[in-house]
Amino acid sequence: MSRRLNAAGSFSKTSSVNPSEQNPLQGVHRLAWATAVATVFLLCVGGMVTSKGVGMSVPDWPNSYGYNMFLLPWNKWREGGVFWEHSHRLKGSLVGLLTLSLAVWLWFSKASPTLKKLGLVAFFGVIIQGVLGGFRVVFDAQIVGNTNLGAIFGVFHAAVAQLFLSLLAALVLMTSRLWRRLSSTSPTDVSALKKARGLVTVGTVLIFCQLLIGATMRHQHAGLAIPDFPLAYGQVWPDTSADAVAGYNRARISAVAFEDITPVQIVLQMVHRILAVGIATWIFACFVLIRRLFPKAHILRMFAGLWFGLILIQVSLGAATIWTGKAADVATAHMAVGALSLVTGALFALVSFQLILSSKSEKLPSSSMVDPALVLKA
Amino acid sequence: MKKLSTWLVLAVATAASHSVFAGDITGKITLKGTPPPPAQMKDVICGTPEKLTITSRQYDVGLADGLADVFVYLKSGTGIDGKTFTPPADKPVLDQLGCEYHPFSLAVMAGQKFEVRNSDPVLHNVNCSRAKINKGSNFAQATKGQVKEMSFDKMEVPILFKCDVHPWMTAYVAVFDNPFFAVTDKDGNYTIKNVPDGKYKMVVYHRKTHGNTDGEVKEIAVEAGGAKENFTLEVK
Repeated sequence: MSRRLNAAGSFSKTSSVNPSEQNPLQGVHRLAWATAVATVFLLCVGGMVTSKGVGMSVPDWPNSYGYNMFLLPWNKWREGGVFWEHSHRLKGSLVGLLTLSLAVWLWFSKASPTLKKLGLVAFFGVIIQGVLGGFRVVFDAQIVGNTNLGAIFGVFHAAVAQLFLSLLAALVLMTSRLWRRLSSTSPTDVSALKKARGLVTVGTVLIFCQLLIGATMRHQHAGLAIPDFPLAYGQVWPDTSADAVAGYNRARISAVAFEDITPVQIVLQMVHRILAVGIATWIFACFVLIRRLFPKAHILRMFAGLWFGLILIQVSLGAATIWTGKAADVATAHMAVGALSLVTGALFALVSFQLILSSKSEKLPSSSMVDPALVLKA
Repeated sequence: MKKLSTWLVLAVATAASHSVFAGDITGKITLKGTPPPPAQMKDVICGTPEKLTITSRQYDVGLADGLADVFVYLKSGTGIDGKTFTPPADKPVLDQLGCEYHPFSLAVMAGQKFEVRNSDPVLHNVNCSRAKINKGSNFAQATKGQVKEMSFDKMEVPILFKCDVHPWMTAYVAVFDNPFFAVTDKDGNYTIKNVPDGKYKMVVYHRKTHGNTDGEVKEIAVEAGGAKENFTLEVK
């Protein structure tokens, strides 16, 4: 007995699988899954590198301490920050290889031209991501204005990581049997779908903006700009005058955060908090509205439930990050759940778009509905 | 004989000028108020079987509230303005031992060489890339006993040194453009030697108390072979 998507876009229980519905892209779909899972691990290790502030523990790139990266002796990286940084580089190489395999497999498979192009985008994306990571190391000692150039590359590295994971998740979805069924559904309430699409797209863009703010905060390596929550330095809005900030810095004792905090960093964290409330409210509204618009077991209701659940966890982890004094594992979990929230939003939006396209292509020949990419093109 | 007497006169004149026109500035820096308790890193492993506890050193208060790690220096004044100074020949050492830097605060003159040494059986990277005026760097010292000679060209107070392998490891190196500087010892005492008589602007800078400011400036006079200047810094 399994659950399958029916023509109305809802899941129903069924005991058999029609052989004609077998996925010709099953192999590449599995590889896309493996690449996406490896990327989640890579993100987590990268998150630990940033949370622990150990990104520069291997000062050179693409070599590691002068060694070819893959030949660095174990006794040189088994301890301390170098373990996280070098592991991150090795896992990055693994994800690079998996992405290359995925792109090549897609290219020579029966996948649609759109999917093949997305495979290439992923391949070039992973190369750009690797180079950004390298530049974060190589340009660490370069100062532009008052800003460290390496830190700027670090923010881009973090942002591209999130987009890359979302792209891989999209490839997982678009090579799946579920996607093929989505293409052949016949949704009736297109206006409801359009409402859902708008809500979800806005929510996803807001989450990405929030992730950019979070990445900027993390890559300044200033520790916690505001050490308390829900208040900020005991106030609803903290005093950011020069005297007040000097006082915060004098009282700020940490074993690992050495840079002084600045008024800009305090304001940035306040914006992050306010936007978090905004996003949680928006996604709650999304959850309520979609439950009203779509029947039980509809795929969009399931996405809405998952998304809202992730945001609740994410808000809790944000608070825990402050209450634990930015413990590395908690801060990294906060980053990872943020990435999963973005991925869920992106897939949610993609499914909404696809259901609308399916409804528009009802009159097209059935063969075009079998290939989702063709439907997208149509 | 004439040559010898000339040398004698010069030697006496030099000695006299030192005793009459130059002297030491001494004093004590004390901290008023109770600083926040230090942070601790527990169960630290540093190449040995036993685990260590590392305590943060932002406020190191000794006897009679004396504050360690304060940079005290002369910024301008009679014996400094318009003069150029040759950096001292001695090479101070910034050692990495027990996964901590020793000393925590090091003062050198621009152009003066100093040694960065790894006395631990583990790898450290030495990262001073946050230098704002001088050129920063980040290099590894993989083996015990490894030494690298460094120097900075321009005045900068202070430059953060850190190890990213052991992220609690930090030190501050301050670079001065004249030889009249000191770092307070564990009880807050300091001595700036051989300062010519005259009027000066003296600066006191403590990393945690003064943060990103230039520190506290005081106008002082060195007369009759020396001066005594005490400062009190506050934790608010």
